[in-house]
Amino acid sequence: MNTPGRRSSVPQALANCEIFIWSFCVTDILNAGWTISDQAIANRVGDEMVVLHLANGTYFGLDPIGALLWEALTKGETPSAACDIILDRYEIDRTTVEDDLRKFLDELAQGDLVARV
Amino acid sequence: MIRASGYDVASYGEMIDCEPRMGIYAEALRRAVTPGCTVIDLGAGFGVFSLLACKYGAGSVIAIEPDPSIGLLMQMAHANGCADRISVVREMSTRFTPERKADVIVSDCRGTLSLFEHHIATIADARERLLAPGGALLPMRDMLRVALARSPKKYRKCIYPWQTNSYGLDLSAGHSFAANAVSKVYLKPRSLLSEPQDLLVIDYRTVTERDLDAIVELAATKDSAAHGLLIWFDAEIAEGLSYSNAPGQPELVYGQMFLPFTGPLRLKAGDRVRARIRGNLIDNQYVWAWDGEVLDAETGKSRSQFRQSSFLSRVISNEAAAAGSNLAIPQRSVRMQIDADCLALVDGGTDQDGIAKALMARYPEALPTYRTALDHVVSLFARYRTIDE
Repeated sequence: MNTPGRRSSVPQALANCEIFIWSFCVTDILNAGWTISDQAIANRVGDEMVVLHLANGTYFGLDPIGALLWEALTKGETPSAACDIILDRYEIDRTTVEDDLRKFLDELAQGDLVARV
Repeated sequence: MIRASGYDVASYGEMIDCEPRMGIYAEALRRAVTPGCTVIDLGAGFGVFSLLACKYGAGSVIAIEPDPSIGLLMQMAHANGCADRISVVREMSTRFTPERKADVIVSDCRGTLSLFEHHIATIADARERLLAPGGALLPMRDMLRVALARSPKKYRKCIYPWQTNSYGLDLSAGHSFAANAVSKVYLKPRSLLSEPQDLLVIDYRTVTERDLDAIVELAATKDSAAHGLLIWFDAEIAEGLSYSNAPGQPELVYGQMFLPFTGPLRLKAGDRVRARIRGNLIDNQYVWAWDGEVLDAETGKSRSQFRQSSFLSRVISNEAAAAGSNLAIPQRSVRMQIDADCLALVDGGTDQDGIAKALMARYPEALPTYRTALDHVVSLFARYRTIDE
């Protein structure tokens, strides 16, 4: 997770970039825009979802929380919007949800199913 | 004890009774076969092309067919006086290497379309490994074509009973699944709402790509509701010898493939449907995807979009999807142990009766009767039963 502690490790030579880096850290991947790959097809049954990558034939199973994230991205919303919905529906603390969403977004991106705008 | 294979010979009979398909194949074979040449009948069924090749003068014919239906061929070969020229390979062609390459390879392993299971890869492999330089491949080329279609009759299954039914039940959860299911149809020319467009050329002499990814633009020829896209193929078996599955042509065994829209597209004459059509071979079957938009005839602007796939016609559980993943870690089960024991009991001397009884004694709960034990043994060994004759 991006924190002020990480920001403090920025070398002095990059001090001019500090404002930009701080902005990047605060923005975080949860507040960034994401697009769904045109290779991804999401099949929803109940509150679960299976996403197929057409070109390479791999499947990703999404639990109800993953499915909420996927639907938010489909609507053009940020992951943090999904985070708010998840916190409303489930008794999970924000830090856990955010950490899980970051990991999950990373997996989806590595699987070529989503990409940052 | 001999168990029935369940093979339906009648369906092969229908393929022979399918004109002009059969007549054109026969004529292409007649022209390609030279006295004494070698012919491979790929995916031979019960081997009608093998018999014809002999009749036209082939010196030797290899019929490759893993299905038990090929068991009929030698009986027919004797009846037609050519048994000495035919050999049968009950095996996948990709696992077979002949002593001598073929001068002619004839096959028809298509489904509704040429993109069917491992058809393309099978032909490409045969061309590279089994065909002599300069040899003939029958068929030579297929052209996939697509048009907008209207068919209230075929579209009915996308609506009923999902959106309305006589029983007062809310079955709407099933609608999107039904409306993404591709089906084989036989439509008439009056069902077409656009001129057909070329979608894909498959030249079997060069093809290597098994997947389809193409964009077409189809202009509505009249005001109407389009229910889906219709895809078919035109076949060129050899130079000048062709047949078509287009609406209006004689109905052949293949039919046409109908890709429905989730909701009917209300089109005015001149409106254009721009569609990206993809077919990807996944887990031995093609997954179809059809995405696109309707472009207004007057403004040229996008009026509505669709994004559909045959993948969305299947009710898939997370568990089932996860089981197919390379990351899945199999857990040992009783069924696996039974299979392991079953294979371990194969010693070249014990018959299936003995193996079934041994398993029944070891696993009385999972295999409570002799019948269940024997069924298990037979179905497991069927996976490995391929015989070179």
